[in-house]
Amino acid sequence: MDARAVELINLDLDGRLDAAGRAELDTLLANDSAVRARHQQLRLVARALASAPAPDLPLDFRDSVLRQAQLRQRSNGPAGLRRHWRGGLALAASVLAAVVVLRVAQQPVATDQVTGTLAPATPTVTAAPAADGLALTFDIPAGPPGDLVIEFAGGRRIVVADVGPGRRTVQVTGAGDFSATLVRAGVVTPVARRSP
Amino acid sequence: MVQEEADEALVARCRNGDGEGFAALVRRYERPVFNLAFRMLGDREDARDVAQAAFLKALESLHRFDARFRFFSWLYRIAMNEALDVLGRRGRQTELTDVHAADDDPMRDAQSADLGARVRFALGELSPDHRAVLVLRHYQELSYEEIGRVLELTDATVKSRLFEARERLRVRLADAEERQ
Repeated sequence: MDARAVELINLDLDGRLDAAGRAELDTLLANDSAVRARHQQLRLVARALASAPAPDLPLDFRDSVLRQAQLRQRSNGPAGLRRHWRGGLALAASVLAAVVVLRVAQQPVATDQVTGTLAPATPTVTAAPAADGLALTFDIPAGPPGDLVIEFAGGRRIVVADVGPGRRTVQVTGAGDFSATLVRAGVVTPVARRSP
Repeated sequence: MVQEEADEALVARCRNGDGEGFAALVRRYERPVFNLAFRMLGDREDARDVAQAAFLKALESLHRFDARFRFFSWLYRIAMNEALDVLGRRGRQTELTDVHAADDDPMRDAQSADLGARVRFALGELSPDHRAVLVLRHYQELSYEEIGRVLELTDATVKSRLFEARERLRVRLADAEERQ
């Protein structure tokens, strides 16, 4: 096939045809069945590429990167830099260590930690028994979207990504001790307990 | 409405030793970088290792980053080089073996009926150079100019390589369809 025809077809796929190129391609498509066939085939190739679903990001990917970064900064970075990184990355990398453990399921609800507000200054959660486990209702304060990290005793971990401000209910199976944190731009905030 | 902080500002915070700036960059680019690595390598574990290595290398090399350029182009270049290194270590033979093994596996045969799976296998048969331009154009949706910056190629080379890669992928997909 003519190299110019191939170029025009590809530019068309990439949305890079100008008016003159468009007219030239249209003429070729109208008069040349081989160009028509190739155009159609390459459109199918582009569609096939687009059809492949995006892979899921491993749940602990970010934590793992931030932990590694913190370790490297401790061992390699300049002394001045290390001090700053301890403050910033330590928060982001220590999701598991920074959490407040909440007791739920058959446990009585604590009353001394009630905030009782729908627009809390800090993230809060209420837990209620549900059919197969628990219904966790989070109230997220104003700010950018963040990830809710819920970790159960025994290591089971649930991450709810890109949670914006407002109320969000998460149904989880099973019951028992769990901890929750809100991670926003690497800043880890423990989720406080609130009575239902 | 919350305005997201620009990459340039986050990079500046990182350079000033602010770990939260780096965490924000990871959050912003973790999915596209992992996606790029997965499309290049076809394996989740390898993709995870490559994406993680890319972020850590970026952090360590941040003092060399030229702020006149886009941060994501620089980050993608690091990730792409890491992925190409892995492919180089695997060797061509390994890739082809993996692809052809699918023909003898009933489960994979069933999967190959799916267009997405066929594309993945066909991509795996292309050279890393051809795969790279297709991944950057079709999955990362970069322009010719941005692809050129990531791969350190001229626009003309990007175009010719991309057109050639599409043609080779078209032939591979047609072959796969005939084999079915």
